[in-house]
Amino acid sequence: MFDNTAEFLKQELAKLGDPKIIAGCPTCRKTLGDSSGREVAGVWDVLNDIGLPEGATKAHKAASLHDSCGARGDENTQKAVRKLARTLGVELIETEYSGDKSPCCGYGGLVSYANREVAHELAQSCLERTDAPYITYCMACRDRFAREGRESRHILELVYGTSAGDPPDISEKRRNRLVLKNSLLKEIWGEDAMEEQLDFPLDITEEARVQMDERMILDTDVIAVMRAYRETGDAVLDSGSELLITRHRIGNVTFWVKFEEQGAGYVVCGAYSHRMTVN
Amino acid sequence: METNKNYYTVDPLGKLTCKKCRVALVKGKATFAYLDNAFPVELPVCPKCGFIYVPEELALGKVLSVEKALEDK
Ligand SMILES: [Zn+2]
Repeated sequence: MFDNTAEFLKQELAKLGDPKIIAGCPTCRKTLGDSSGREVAGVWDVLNDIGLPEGATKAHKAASLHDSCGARGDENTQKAVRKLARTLGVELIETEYSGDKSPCCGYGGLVSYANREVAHELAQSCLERTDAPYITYCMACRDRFAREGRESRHILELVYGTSAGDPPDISEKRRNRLVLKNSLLKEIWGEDAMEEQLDFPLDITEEARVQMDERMILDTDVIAVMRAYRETGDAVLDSGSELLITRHRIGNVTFWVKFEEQGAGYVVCGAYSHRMTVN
Repeated sequence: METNKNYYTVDPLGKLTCKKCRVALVKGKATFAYLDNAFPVELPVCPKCGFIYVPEELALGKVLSVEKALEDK
């Protein structure tokens, strides 16, 4: 699968006349460079060359730089990001474990999805190095530390004078990627975006959203379940909770949604899933 | 395997109704299957349309632990 994707990218890049690739993530830089056999620049290299954009946040405060695992063995990137941070006015605190010895934030290998407790311990071991705020150059590290309650900024947030805000839940993450893709399609390629319109009202309570994030259930999964319910009408009414409960299997997972009917639409109050089939 | 053995039983206790058929769910036989393994269970089932209900406690408890055990094998 990796080889297929690499080959696909290679062909598509060739169609574009093999343009210069600028990566915003050290892992992308390394992986794209290895698979395409071409030089891939980091956005930090480019920013060091062209200078900061207008509106950059001049920080003038002490912070620690957390090197991402994708930059291990990549001295050029480690140095370039430090240079950029200093240009932003950051007074860098070097910690014992940095550079090639930088520990994992708990996202690598998708640990934060497979085992939250281990991911928490990994992030804590990173944060023990100093009480200072952290600057990172990987969105995963940035969000992992923010989730642990530490002030944590991706260096590009400072460069562009913006805040990425609270870490997104998995549905928001996916939606952010769609929004980015759609805006690029529209603004750069002048193509129509592929937006799916919901043809019925659907509310998801805040409690249900928190639960879905913990259980790795996307809002698009819940929407698919409710669409199926509208076709089949299959549901159980639990007189204890007064909620309706329906289900739909998507791929290898059965998703269950607890909901109330409200007018022509639904209020989702909970969701859970299992992989076993039941007959 | 004994034919009468059930790995799990959930009694509907009269508080679950099939919305479509407007009848109470009853305790019925069902089979969980995962990665070439099958387990007979008793779950709330609609006597009319056959809808099988897997309660949240079961999905997040026993079912999840069995899924994990089988994946680790
Ligand atoms: Zn029924």
